[in-house]
Amino acid sequence: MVEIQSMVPIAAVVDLVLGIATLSIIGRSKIESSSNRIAGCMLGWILIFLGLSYVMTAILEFRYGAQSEFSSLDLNKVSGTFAFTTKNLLLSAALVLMALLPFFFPFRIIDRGWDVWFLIGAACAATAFFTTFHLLSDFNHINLENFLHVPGYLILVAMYIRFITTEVRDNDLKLRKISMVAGLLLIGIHGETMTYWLSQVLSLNDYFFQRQSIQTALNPSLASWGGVNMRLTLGTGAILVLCAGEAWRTYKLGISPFGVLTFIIFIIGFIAGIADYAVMDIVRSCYETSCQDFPAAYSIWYDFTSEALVYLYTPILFMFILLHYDIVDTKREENRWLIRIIVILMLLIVSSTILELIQSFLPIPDMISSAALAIVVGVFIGWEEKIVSSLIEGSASIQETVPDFIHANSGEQEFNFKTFNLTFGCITAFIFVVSLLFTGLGVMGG
Amino acid sequence: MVPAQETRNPLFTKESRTPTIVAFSLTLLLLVVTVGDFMDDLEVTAAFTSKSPEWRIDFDTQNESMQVVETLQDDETRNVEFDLSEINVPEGYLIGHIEAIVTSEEVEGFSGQCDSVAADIIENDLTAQWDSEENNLSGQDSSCMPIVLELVVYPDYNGESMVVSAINEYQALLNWTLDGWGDGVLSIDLDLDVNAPLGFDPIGSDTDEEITVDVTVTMFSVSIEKTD
Repeated sequence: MVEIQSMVPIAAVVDLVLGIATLSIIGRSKIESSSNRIAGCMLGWILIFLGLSYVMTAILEFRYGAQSEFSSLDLNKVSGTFAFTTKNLLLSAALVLMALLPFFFPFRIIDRGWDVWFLIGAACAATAFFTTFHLLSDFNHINLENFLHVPGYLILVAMYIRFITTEVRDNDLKLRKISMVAGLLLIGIHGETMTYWLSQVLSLNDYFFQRQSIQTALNPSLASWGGVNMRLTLGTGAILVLCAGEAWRTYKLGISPFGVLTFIIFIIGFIAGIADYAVMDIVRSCYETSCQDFPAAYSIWYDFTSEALVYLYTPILFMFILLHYDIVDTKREENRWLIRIIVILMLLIVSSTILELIQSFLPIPDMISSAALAIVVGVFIGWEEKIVSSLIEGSASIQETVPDFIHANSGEQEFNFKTFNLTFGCITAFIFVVSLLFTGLGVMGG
Repeated sequence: MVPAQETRNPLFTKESRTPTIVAFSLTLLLLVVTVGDFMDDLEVTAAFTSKSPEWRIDFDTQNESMQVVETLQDDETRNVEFDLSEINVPEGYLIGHIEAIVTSEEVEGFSGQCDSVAADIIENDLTAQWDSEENNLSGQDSSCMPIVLELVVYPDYNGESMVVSAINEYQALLNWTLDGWGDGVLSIDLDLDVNAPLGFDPIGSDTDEEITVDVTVTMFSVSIEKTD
């Protein structure tokens, strides 16, 4: 079996660096609109929650080891530990914020003066509810929070279709920015499940969960299975809508980079579906005979597609949204150096990780991979100005792009950045303290 | 200003309404179909993992024998070997157990003096349960009785029927389908110490002994039956 190195520690560093830098830049910028600041804070805290969750996962992997199958943790070993409890609760908090994001970005859908209080209240209430619920039910109903993604999915899909149809009808290219950001958010939130779209259409995914359940001898609850299936279905629906929309747009207006990204994910999902079908005997072996291991090629494929999309490409995608939609003030000279450092740092981390991954299964000598990394570093340093400029170039906020969609007095009340950060800082502390208390008392994992 | 009003709504226009409803409907349809499948699998999995039925495992045995007759001199130690690859193991059978019976030619008679015979199964590369408590690898006799040596070859095999708990037939039989046990050569050391009749043999007429080693290899196949 090929030993693929875990991407989780890298994802933790990348997410935390980007999240903290985002909050830092937004905190210093006073001129940004409150809508941008809310969106930036939400993205920043999503990244921090994900980053902290990945830190916990990395600790668990380091201590107990990751299973070769989908790099998952052995639940029988990690259940009841502080790191496992905290990881799940932080992930749950990130999911709550992700579910609320489409209400505030690209447009403030509620569009009332109290919508920020709704955001803070809903985030606190949902996090408190899921934290308590999961702790008391010993995580038997984990994934229940996936149902929260339904409203956001409806908003983003409707927005994507609405803007792509208008763009094609009027040949108004500035509307592309809106359909693209709706699509990017769909990929950011549902990216992993998009790569399982064919398996979901063929209804193969349930066999994989059946296998996992038999292997771990843990029976997930109806709510947990429902949550997983909901997320898989939303991801499938999203990629099919995006693919149909982009195919139509390509036919009418020509190919675009976002169209290429969509088609790549679509093709990955198609190949993954065929691969899933090919290993169905192995999947069913747990039920019919005894659990057989997946072939090495199957695990490598999974690591390079679904897992890399979640751990490596999603932060880059969020970074693109932050910069290209002027959520952080890219025009200010003081912010430029920090943005340049972050962009280069993230691209380098991701490139070197990909190289390491390739090296883990291809017999490439260290000297060649070092040389390849040096080439990548050289390219990034040499073209640093160009890369950063191309990311920032043409960046414009939603308000600048489509001012006719924003009410003149729309929600531009003073946004209290400190209150927002204090609230989410308290949520983080709450999760850590409660996890420590519950695991210390021996309540979890019984 | 109808178009201006139309463009203000960030979610719908007249022409986007139909594709949006189609997209939502397809998502709902997919959800309904997959939920149905998930529910079925949930029930099956729960039933599968919650109960572990009991299975009765019976062993059908066949024996294969080999014999060696050796004449040993007084105070001689001799090694005899039995190559187990020469045994014809029927399809579906595995080697479970080896029994070696060492018999000397001499019968206890008037003199009341039997030769002293010792036999040891020598641990070597033969794949077997060398540390099993059921083994009897050494024996000695000076009363003209046969020496019985035993070696368990297949893990936990004792020839008796058993009841196991497992989630399916395959897993119940998993421990009884392992290949590779019983490969190698059975090596036995024989040792003779001649005892003269009444302890007196002036012309040295009793200096050797004919020793017979009978090896019986027990092979088994398993049959399984659900008990509840």
